[in-house]
Amino acid sequence: MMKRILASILAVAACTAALTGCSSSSPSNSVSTPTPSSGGNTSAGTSNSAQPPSSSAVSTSEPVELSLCMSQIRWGVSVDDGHMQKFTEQLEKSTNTKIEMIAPTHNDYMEKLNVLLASGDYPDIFIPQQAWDYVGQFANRGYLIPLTKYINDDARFAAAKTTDLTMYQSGDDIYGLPLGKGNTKIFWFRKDMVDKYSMNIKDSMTTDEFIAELSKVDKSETIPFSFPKHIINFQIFYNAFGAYGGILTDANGVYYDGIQTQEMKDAFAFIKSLYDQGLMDSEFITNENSNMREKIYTGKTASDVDYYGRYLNYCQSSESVEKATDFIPCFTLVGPNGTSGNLNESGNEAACISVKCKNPDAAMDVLYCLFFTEEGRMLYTTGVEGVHYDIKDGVLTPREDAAAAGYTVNVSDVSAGWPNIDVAALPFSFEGVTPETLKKNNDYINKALSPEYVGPIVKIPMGKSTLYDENVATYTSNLYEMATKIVLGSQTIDEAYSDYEKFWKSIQGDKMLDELNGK
Amino acid sequence: MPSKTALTQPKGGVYKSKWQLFLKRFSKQKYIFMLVIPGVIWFILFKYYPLRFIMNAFTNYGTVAKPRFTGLANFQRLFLSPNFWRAFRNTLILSFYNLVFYFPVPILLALSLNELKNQFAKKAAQFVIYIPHFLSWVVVGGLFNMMLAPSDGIINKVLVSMGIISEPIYFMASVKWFRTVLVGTEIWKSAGYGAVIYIAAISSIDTQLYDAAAVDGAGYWARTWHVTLPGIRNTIATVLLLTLSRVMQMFEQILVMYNSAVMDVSDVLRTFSYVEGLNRGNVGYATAIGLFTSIVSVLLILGCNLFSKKVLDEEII
Amino acid sequence: MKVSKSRKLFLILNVLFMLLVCLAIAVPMWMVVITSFSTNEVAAAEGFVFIPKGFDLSSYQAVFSSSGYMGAFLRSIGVTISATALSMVLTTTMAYALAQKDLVFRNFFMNAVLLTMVVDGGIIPFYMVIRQMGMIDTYAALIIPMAITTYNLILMRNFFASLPESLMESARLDGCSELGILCRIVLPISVPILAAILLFYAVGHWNRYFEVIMFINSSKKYTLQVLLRQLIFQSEGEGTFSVQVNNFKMAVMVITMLPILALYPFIQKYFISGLMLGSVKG
Repeated sequence: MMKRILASILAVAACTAALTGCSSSSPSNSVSTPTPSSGGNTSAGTSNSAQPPSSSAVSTSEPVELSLCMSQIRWGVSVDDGHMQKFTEQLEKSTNTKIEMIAPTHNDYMEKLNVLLASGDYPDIFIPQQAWDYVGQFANRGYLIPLTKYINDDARFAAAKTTDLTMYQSGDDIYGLPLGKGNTKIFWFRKDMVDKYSMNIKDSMTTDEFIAELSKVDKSETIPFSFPKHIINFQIFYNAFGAYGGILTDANGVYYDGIQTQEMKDAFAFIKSLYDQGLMDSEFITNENSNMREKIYTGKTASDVDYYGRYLNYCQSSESVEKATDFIPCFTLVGPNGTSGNLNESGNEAACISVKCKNPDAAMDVLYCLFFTEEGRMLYTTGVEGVHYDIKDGVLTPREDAAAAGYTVNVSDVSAGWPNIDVAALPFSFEGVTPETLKKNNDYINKALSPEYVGPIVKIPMGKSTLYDENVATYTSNLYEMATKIVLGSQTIDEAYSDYEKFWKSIQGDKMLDELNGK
Repeated sequence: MPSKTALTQPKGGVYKSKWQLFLKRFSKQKYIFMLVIPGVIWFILFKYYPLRFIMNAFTNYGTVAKPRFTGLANFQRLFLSPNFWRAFRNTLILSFYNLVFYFPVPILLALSLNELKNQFAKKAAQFVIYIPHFLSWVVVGGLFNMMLAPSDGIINKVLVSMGIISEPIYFMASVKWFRTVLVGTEIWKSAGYGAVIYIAAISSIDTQLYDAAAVDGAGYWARTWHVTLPGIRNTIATVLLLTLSRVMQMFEQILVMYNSAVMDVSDVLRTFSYVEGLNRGNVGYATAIGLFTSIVSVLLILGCNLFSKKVLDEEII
Repeated sequence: MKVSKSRKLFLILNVLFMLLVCLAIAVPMWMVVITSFSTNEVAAAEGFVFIPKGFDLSSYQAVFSSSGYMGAFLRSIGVTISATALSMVLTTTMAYALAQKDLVFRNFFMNAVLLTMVVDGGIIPFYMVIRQMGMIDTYAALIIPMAITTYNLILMRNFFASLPESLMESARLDGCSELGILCRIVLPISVPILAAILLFYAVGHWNRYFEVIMFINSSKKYTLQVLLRQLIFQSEGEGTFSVQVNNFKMAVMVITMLPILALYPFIQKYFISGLMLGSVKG
């Protein structure tokens, strides 16, 4: 009998355990999002919205509650939760807010964001990756509030107007706030190799010079040029031939397919000849970025393609593996027709504010603080003193536990944002960074972002053509495969193009162009 | 529940409704039934309740502010997509390879371990083969990428020095070899962990059966064949079914290891839907791909069950 | 009994085979471990290190001195233990009931359970259900919704179903209650399979990261696997974020593996033949 009772109790206990889950759901059902804003602030919010404040005036009122969704490494770089809390507290103090932290890992950020958005749990502020693509999509889906008035009318965000804002446009409104100056990839050469093989590296080189200089490297000792597995980077070569891997517009604003052009065929032929002559890393297709960087630090390769801000990191890393050398950039290749441009990845990140945000002004204050003030930028890139780093003898030294949690300072990152932070003028210096390298770094950043070297970036507005929206992922992955096959030699250019014709038909390419052109 | 009193055939002159019979049976086992209830509630809440969302496969949920019913548009788009059929084909081929080449390995390992006579060696070997399961795919991918490299990879060096191949092979970029690499790394990573269940099953076999077989003069092979294998047959059949339902779900391994040179042989449904669906927030379309995968899996399992019934004489469902 | 020559040969071959298997596993594992003990310079230069050059404990020191890792470590252990306990209770009871051949609705239940293995609504509806229950950003979201793995449930249920029915019938005739039969008769003779399933659950809960990322928002509730994943992917950090050297990543990886590896020898003890024998005799 006892056992029977025991059995019943166990079953009932298990049921109630399951049911309490249900019953507790009823109150939370009524609240659709966990982003309540305390009543006291709404009035402050409305008064603000009439006229945007010229500075993030910290009032004595109750802190505004905001949910902020950024990837885990953006909360002060360290992934240690204690450090992230300190970062958040600092941010809360500067902006008089109460931040609800949503910090998915960097690699799963877009998945988490998509889950949150699709299930109706919009975070107040979030920062999508590939923003040139997503901001427009999210705006079309009704997730976002327009930021046009802030960007246009608020002097605090004037810097944002220096970038190409059409990327974040949907209709007449701008929905994304750019967070920095932009990002490009350029060629990097090891100085020791350049000297050893007496290469002549210039800021801008013709494609023939590029091949000629790389050919001087002894291939049995060193890989002349390494490349990452991500074929999107081929664009840096396409630019030299005036080709573009995607749909783009001509001078009259008519859309056409960049792949079906003679320029693209020439670009393919050039990359293929680089590969066939053994100048390009024969194992590039399995190079993660980290593998490629490893190869250049350690001198296994003489050159590669990487972000403009890598200079200091390259110098430090090559020193740490006892292969110290200087690095020389080449900002662009110039093709036979005089066309050029580096790999433009600007607009990758922009901040958005969701329609469920109760106090957009406060949200903008947070964004202003983090991305448009020196204080915020320093917090964002270097963390909190005494938590992430200490200043020892005037040098910023990462604390041991912060370093263990992934914390490192990227000095280029400090200076690549708004406002212009003069790193040399800071009251402290950074480990392994000399005034000389700092000057070079700044110089390279400015050059890599100067209009004469920056490559094109083409953005097709979402919602213009259903066929395009549906097929763009397939189209891009097909281009990557096609380019790979040509370069690795499993298909000739002609074979690849006859396959491409079939592919173009299968995605109804001509109809897609007609739709884009509004026919 | 309606107390429908359909009458059954008279038995021994007593008329009893099906409902009454059912009640009697039920009251007899109400305590057993109580044991099943917590689990059933769990399944309803966490497995079935979310399924109402599957209806979104027939809408454009995710892409617009106000989703609406779009009928079979998502499926039409799916079937028209040139990369979908490739992904489908690759899924089936890789599933088949995994079944043929991966599935028997844990059984072999368990049987082989069972034959080790030294208890310490047995336990040590069990332990060693179990370890790789705990490395994440990213690390395994990095490790094998390095070991398989044609220039300085240890595997190519060994193969060349042993004269098995004359030229180093670029395994990770070779259309011919990449599926082998996928199945091989899967075996490397998971076979030892997969063997655990067989080791447990073998250890549950009644040792009397071995003694009896020995008395009957059965050799070692005969004992393995007539005692050990039948003893774990039930487990083998179950794991086969469970493996089948999961092979369609291959994902992380491929996402980490593939590159655009081998897309033709390695792009599978999950990677396809990841790139096209969830990654781009196109929920309706992603749900449609998921639904299609589910249907194919159900068919696979029914086929497998039929096979198991006919050949192994063991019905799993 | 005399051991035949072919048998001897087989045993030798078998040992060789096992050695080969262990070697194939040990070589890459060796690289992981040696990398974790390497100095920064060596690890940065070689990625994975094969031949040890220098010995350096600083990576381990750094991890153990970091309150962030240790906190996440403890949270992982807590979640794993509680989730495994709940999993075992729910799975055992349900599997036992479903193994009864005359259970009402048995086939219906079985088919319904099997169907969930392949039909899956995806992460978004799952998230919505968990939110409705108010479990987002709580540990409950890592324990209750993950309690049953259909795979393990079926394995256990099929094992129970293969037990001789006479055992249970005789106990029933003796007036033993169902829970009594389960605890006194069925579980003791199922120790190996229970141990295996316990291990599967513990490993599953320990290795979980995706659901943690999806259902947990604030960093102070993250488990160790989430931190590990962040670290490992950080080297691929596009653009500005910088690189962690492999020795440190591998050290975290080894530390992440250790507790769950340490569980195995304890589980292994229960993989002993002859349990069934005793219970049938007694």
